[in-house]
Amino acid sequence: MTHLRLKNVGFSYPIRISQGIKVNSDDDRIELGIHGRARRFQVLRDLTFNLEVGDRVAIIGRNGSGKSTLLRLLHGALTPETGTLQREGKTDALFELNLGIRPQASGYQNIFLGGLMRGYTKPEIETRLDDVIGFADIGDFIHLPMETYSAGMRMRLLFALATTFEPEILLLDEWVSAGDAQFRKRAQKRMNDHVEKAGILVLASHSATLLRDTCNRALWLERGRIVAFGDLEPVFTEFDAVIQKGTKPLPS
Amino acid sequence: MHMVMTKSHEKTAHADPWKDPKAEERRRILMQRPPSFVADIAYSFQLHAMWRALAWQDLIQRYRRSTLGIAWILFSYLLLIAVFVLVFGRSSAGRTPLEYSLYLAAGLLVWNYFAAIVTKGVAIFSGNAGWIRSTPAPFAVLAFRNVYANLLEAVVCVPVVIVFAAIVGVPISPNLLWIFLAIFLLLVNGISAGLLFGSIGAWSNDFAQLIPAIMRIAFFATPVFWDYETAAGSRLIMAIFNPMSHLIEIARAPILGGAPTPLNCIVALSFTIIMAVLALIAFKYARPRLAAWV
Repeated sequence: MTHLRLKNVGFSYPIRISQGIKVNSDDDRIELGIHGRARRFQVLRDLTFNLEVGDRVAIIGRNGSGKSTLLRLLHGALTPETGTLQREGKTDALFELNLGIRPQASGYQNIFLGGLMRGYTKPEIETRLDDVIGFADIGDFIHLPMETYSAGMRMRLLFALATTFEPEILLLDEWVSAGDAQFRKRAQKRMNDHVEKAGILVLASHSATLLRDTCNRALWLERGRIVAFGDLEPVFTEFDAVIQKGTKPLPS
Repeated sequence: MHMVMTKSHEKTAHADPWKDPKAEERRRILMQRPPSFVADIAYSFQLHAMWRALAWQDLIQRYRRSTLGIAWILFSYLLLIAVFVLVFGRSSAGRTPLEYSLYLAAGLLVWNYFAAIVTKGVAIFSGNAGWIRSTPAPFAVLAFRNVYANLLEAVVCVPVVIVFAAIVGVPISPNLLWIFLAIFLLLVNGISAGLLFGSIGAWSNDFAQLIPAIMRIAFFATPVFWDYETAAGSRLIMAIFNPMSHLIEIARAPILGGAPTPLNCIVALSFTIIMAVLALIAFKYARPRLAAWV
């Protein structure tokens, strides 16, 4: 059964000595080495939560709270430094619009490369080619190098790719910013279909409408730690009051 | 084998190759960060369709905006041979200019391949940060891709060697079979070099600066344009203690109609084993950290 289980997961990035900058900071996430130079940045600390089939989780939090790093850990591109992460299910992701494609290759070629990257063979990819191209709906641009695409077109193709290979766990980061209303509607439908087919959806975004339309649960990150995890509405209302309106202090 | 299986499934009207449980299981295994460094290398090998496609793209894109295109590989190779024949042709002992051309063509072919593997190998992880952060696919795919891309470039130059060999009149003898040993050693060392230097290159940026300088020196310390047999004094010592000269000799001797010496084989094999062990140690240590380093 598809699931994601995290227990005490922590992750830090090294900050290279050669780039080491002296810092005067009381931020406990920055680990200082010799001469007060920044050595490591502890992005995430002590995350414990479980996601099961049917969960549509919104990851919310301010910039720099660790949302993207958490998504990369869930994807498996990053490995937890401490703690354990159990992933059961085929995982696909759409993070940045520049990653995982070859800008000089055409959209058409990138569909093949994307399929091969996901372990499919060429004949298998060919059977879904029309589906990807049809959903992306970017016309003849499909045969032009992807560096000629607008952000929106890139997003369309990458979203089509990420959802076509029948993932059981789908991870999306801020993807919505580049889509027009008509595409957003189609994308929403595709995501909902996906979750109904026994899947997990994790979506990091700042858009209240999108999160309310798509998700049923919310995970609130603050400085790499979980502030709250539960049903979307209460968590999001609290987040809205504390962070976005500033009418309440941060719960400790 | 796998493709054939897929096709036979397509014939039965309802069967969807995407639902084939065997294929699905394979994808599930391949699309996670492999549990160990050995599995990483094994899975990477299985993903050959991916690294072949990527290497092919590398080759096309490198020469994409040039009019001569891939012919540039051939052109710069021939130009280098011509320059060396003009400058060093006379000092080469006992070889006619034609024989010297063949000697050079064979040596340069191997040298260019190995030098490119090493200099590009340093950046296979650090230069592919986007890829590494966007997919949990195994890392060693990038080492295979590096070897295959440079192998394709070398293949473009092979006809030159064959033409020179035909003109010189190299006899067709069982000695030519040594070439297969040479190819095998060059492929294995190519993978090792990618994993070893790529891992170190991801850890330290200084290493990436150091390698081109070292390779330039190594070129002069290796009998590629000067002759192994007539070298004396310090040159001879350099040639004997330089494992590269033995690797090159295993490929070059059969092309010139001879056979590599036992010493060549022992040194080249030992070097290959040592490289492989070092590569495995470096890759085992670097692998869990690579995504955070790059």
